[in-house]
Amino acid sequence: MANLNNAPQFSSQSENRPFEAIYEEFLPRIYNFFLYRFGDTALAEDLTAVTFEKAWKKRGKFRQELASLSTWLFTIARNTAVDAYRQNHRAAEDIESAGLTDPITPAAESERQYDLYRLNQLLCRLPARERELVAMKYGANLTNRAIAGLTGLSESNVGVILHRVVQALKKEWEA
Amino acid sequence: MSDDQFLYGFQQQPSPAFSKALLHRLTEPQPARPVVWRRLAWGFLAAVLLFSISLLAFPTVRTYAQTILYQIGHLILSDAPTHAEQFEESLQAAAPSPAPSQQAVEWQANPLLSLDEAQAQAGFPAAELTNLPPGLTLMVRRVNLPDDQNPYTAVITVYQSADQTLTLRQLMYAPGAETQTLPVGSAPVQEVQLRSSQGLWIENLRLSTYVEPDHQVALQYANLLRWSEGGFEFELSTNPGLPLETMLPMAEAIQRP
Repeated sequence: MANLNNAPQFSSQSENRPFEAIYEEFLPRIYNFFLYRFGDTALAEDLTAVTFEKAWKKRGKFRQELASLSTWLFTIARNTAVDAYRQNHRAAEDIESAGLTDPITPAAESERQYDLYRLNQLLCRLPARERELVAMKYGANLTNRAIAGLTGLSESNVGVILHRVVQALKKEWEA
Repeated sequence: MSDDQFLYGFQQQPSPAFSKALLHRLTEPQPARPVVWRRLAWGFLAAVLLFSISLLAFPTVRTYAQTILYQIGHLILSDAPTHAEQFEESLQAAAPSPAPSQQAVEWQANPLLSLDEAQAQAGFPAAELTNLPPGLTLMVRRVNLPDDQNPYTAVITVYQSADQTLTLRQLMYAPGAETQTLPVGSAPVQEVQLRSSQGLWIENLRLSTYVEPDHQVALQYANLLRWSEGGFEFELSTNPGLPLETMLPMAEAIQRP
């Protein structure tokens, strides 16, 4: 990591944390949001980079009185995911369904990688909205309230949808 | 352990090399681009300009310039001109597409299978409409099995009145089936909620052409609802198109055995 003392400030008006501190906190969360959303590490890295580049360019426009830093960053991440989904849909779809056509055998990969492959197979079957909620909750560690704020759903609705999805995933996972 | 704890266990740390490189890219001043890169950039812009002009000039090229709008289940919607629009465009440009090879095809009346017969042929329980607008009568129920063009089994039910056709298609895609693309042209597409899932509403889709009494080719418009549910993909279409306020309750009232 770069020298913390020399790291630029994120925004002098509203968020006085050094950018590097924000980066260290949010990089894994945003990366895992994309990893759970699309199931591919290379794509997750690309979209994480795009998200941070957008955030870095717009950092002067961030205003904490309007939204928390987390909400602001994940709004950018969500928009980046939507852009990737629409503009490069076939590629994204190929990646999402890669596990279905090009399975990794347990013998060839570690158990953890095989578990990831299995999880991605299950997540691929979810509708886009449900998969995004799973990515926000279990990839990005967002609370139901934060997810509700980002998606426009009510907090209880987020809870109900996630409960239903988790029950279905758990059942299939243990099958 | 609560039910959802296992889902947190798949998180990964981004690789240190990636983390470091991205941070460096964001926070370090970028060196000035050498002249050769500027020249390449201008060349690229010129190529993009030429390509854009070609898109405007040649319909055949324009048809390839499409943007993916939405995906629902195995169906991708693009904003490319619909097949009917492409056909009409080719007529207007006085450059009709090559005539298809003439092959004798035995004419077959559309069957009206019973629900049991349709289910036996399809191999799955078939859905039924229960909330039909007055005047519509069940005219066709048939089963299409997967072929080279369509990787799904479909139960197709058609209701007709003197001035309205309503079609329900229930599709079961084969495992691993590839996505299909439906060009919708400029038809507006809207996301809707129905039967606890997300669907798409396409209005004024220029779906087909017909020949008017004065021998002019005209476009036929349809409204279409598409959604996924219980492993099936459903499509409810009306021609001429009924409004969403009418079609949504019909879709909500579909009965699945």
